[in-house]
Amino acid sequence: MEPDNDVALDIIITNVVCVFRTRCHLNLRKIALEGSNVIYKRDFGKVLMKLRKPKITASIWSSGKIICAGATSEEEAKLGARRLARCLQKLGFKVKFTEFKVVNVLAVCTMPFQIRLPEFTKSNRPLASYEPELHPAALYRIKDIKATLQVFSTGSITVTAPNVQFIATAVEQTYPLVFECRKIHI
Amino acid sequence: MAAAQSCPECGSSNIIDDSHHSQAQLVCVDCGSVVSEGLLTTTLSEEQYHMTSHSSQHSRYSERSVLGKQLYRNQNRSESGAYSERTDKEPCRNQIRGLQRVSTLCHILRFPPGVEDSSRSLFERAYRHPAFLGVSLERKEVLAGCCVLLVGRQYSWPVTMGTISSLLQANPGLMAGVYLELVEKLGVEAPPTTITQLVRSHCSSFQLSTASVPDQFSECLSKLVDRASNLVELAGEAWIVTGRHPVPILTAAVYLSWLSLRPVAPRLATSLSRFCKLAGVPLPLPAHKRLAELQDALCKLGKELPWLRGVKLDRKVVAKHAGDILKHRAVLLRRAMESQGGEEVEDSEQAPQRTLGVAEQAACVTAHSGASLSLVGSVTQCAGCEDKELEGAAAAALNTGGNEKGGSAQGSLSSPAGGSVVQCSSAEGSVKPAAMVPVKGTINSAQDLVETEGPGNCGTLPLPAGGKRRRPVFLPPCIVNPPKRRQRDEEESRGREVTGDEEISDSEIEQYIRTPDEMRQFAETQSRLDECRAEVSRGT
Repeated sequence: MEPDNDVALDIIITNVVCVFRTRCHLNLRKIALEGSNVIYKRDFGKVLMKLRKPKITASIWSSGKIICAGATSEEEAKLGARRLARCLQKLGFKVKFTEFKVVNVLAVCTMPFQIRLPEFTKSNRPLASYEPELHPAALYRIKDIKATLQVFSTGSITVTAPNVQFIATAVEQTYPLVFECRKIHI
Repeated sequence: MAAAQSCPECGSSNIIDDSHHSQAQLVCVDCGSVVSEGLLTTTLSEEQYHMTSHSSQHSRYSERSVLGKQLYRNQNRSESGAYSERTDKEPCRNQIRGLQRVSTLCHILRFPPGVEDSSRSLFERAYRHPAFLGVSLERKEVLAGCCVLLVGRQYSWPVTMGTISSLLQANPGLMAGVYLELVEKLGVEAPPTTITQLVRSHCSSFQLSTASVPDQFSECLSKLVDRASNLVELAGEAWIVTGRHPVPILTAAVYLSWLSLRPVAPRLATSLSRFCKLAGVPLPLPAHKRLAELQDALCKLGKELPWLRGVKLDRKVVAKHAGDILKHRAVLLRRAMESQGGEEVEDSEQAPQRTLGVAEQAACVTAHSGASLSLVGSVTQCAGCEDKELEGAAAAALNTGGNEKGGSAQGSLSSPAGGSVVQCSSAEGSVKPAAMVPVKGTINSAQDLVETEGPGNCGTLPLPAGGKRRRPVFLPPCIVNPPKRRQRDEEESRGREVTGDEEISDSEIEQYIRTPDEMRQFAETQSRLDECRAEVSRGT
């Protein structure tokens, strides 16, 4: 199997985190009283609201900043954020859906081979670090696309990047590196 | 110690140093009047003594004291307000203490002098680095341990982070953070310690000599180390080591070795916790689980021993046969693959839904390259590898717990959501185009990755000997016990097209808003709860 041959890998997005602003002050007590599926975290000064479709959890601050997490695609994250803004509008707030941005995407990809982590770390220093006493995976960072990859010896790779395109780029860049360090069984 | 002074009240020269709480004072013995107070040192003459060549070169005075201001008047402060960026200044008290701590740790760990010198120089370099200048004292204390650990690893000295943190009585999380920062900021390379390097040092911590324990429990260190090393290698092949903390595995391996070297009744009746008490070693909590996993791995291989066929082999009995199992583990593993590993598979297209291991693909490649398949049972050790490579201890990573489908020789992947199937290319043959089922939340690989070409119909590949493909005997725990994944609806798994700009109807939003009745009930309940809490707090 040559690394130059092109392969198709299945990358599964497990979490998308996005933020947006409502451009108005939000009364958290009113949201906690009139909204359902709401948890009021008074100590942290925020309200957690959970939507069913899409299945996301939103953290709402009184300044109008909202962080949504739990979506499985960027489009779904936007839909969930819009639903949330609409819900706040129904509660009586003058909400405007502004400054929407996807800030983090988490994806999982599984390689069809095992990986020798000490060798992978040695050949990719200083971008890669592996401390088996601290974490079972090797950590590999790609600075230009701000992606962080956790490479497990089973072949599973967890990728975190600012958007989906960078996730794919990170997997493309990392595949030849892990391919060179795959376990070969005689 | 008092200089020749006279009391201004009574003229007596009998003046002594006395301290009122933490304040140093010069007091007249005869009349009790305070001659002088508030100096950080006793007398100016004493300070002047320290300034002479007779004094210690490591003395340093606070910059706020009168003498300190005189001494350090001409020093330039850095932008951060620290003096410590100068290379020619004397080390501060914390740095001296840190260096002493480094030396002490090196002596405890019995480092050779060269390693100790490297540790000290690394600590001095790290201490003066801007990243560690203004940090808390706790971090500086941990920094000493991190330098010792780093240098120990560079010299392949078997020392773990847990050992250093317990010696320093430091928070392991803090130690981890400081260590990673040290490696990053100083750009120092340090290979992680492999578990095989730790076997001897861990075995030597067990007090099993004839002087410490009764004869029936004592054991020779070299034999214990050899047997434990073999067990640790087997653990590496059986996916017991990967991702786990090494110390519980080592403890379990030493215990099993001790049992198997002399499986007499008193030893077999000794439990793991009692053994650790006997040997004077703390028992880590996960050691029981690692022991069970090691015993299960031995049972799997022990079933293939000819003289044990028909014998019921369980965890309690397997220690007696561990020696034989470890001696012949290569052959036993091959036999286990043949007998326990699954059905024969000759053609991938007609194959039942089964996942192929990488061992088979490697066997294909090896066969094609002319290597002998009789080496299947051989063990290959790579330098720096955590696990030894052995046929059968392979590629269950392919089996992610989702659907299994026979694919090309190289193995197929299926997503946990039950959707798409991807085929990987191999060195020979051609891969059929991937039958991609769009899955919600997955990336369409046709868009993101380059085209697939190359090899792959399994029928064109040379099959391993006998035309059999075998399932690996040992699988990673995450494959054997896959985590429960959220079951999505079939509609969702088929991937409804979501654009993010769909219209949102009022009926979808109403479910998230309480009705007026619900609001009233919620407010009443809340007020009652508050009253109850107030009563309880008043009552207590």
